[in-house]
Amino acid sequence: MNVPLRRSSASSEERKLTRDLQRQHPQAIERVSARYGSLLRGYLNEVLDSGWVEDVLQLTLLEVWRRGPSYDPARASLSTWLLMIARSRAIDHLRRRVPEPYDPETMTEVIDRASQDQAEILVEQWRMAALIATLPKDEAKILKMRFYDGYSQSEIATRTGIPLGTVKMRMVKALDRLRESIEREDTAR
Amino acid sequence: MNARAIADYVLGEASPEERAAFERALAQDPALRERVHRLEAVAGSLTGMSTAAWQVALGEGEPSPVTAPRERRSWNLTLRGVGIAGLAALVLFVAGIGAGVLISGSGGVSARRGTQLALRPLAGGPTDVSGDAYLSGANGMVLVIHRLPETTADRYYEAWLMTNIRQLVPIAAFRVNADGGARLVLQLPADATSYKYIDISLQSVGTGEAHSAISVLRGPTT
Repeated sequence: MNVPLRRSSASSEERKLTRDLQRQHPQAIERVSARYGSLLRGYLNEVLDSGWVEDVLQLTLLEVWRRGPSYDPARASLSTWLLMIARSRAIDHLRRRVPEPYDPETMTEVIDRASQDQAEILVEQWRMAALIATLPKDEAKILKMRFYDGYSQSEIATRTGIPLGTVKMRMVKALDRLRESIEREDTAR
Repeated sequence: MNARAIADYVLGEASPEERAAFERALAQDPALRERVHRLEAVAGSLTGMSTAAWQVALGEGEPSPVTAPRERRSWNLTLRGVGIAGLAALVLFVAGIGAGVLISGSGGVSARRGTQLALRPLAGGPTDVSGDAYLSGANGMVLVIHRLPETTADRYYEAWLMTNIRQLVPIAAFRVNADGGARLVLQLPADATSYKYIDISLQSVGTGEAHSAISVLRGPTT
């Protein structure tokens, strides 16, 4: 059973999970699946044909288990590290699969290469989803209203009853927090 | 520079006067310039996120069931548009803001770096439609559109790079369903900034490939 990501950054639970992964604790993978399963499944579901998602997810978890002792939380958050492994397994799968019968035939190569590019692009979006999950909920909601629903800041203020100035402050604060999280990880790599 | 001005600029909601003033400030403040550049990159990544990713981000439960087939379609009008434009790479078609399917050509489209451009409705058309375009390296563009009127069987929308009605190139054809949303990841046939506008027109099937002159949404390329 998957659960949504908790709204906290590097919580004590995540730190404990990290330690257990590094020690290859018998329950670690089950807890990774419970905590991050929706993230990994969501990403894989957008990259792969639906019939392959569970297989590739299992391969991902297997590799997470195998590589657990080498995971360094200073280099990447747990969610980013997991997504990178899922991306690698998804690309392996895309390279191995038998091309689908596109017509004209010459399109097949383009689409296969495009699918691999897609895996790269989508991993950044799902990485962003994991980072948003660590933001205060009011900031995350404003981001969704702007970037998913397409409302302007004035429209967000009207719909939520939050003063326009506060909407703008929260918007910048949320974007800044995301920027800082990304830069922290990118610097550590 | 205060947070409100930064928000307006990064989200493309500043007036021309505010924009000009902000850009003067940017020119004199390297730290602000760097911060804004990075915020724009974050904004570009957020624009491409799918319904399922937002569900996970907001803890709104499970993303779409694994068993649900993705709505992946590439249809004749899109491919026709590709042919006309002489695109070297395949153009994406997605109907429905939740579909979140990307196809990009060689070089891909960076979701991490981009310049955000706001598209605005044109007089005489639907007033609550909106859109954003994100330009990224190697002629990549992510185009996200909201609240377009649903297309009927004999209508479709076409996105263009345009300077005027004689100087333009089609970049994608698409339809929208009842939610009015579309998200397209495109590999452009040319540098977008060599044209003045990004334009979305409503086209009729079977009436030729020229611009219909019924534009519903437009924004500058710079």
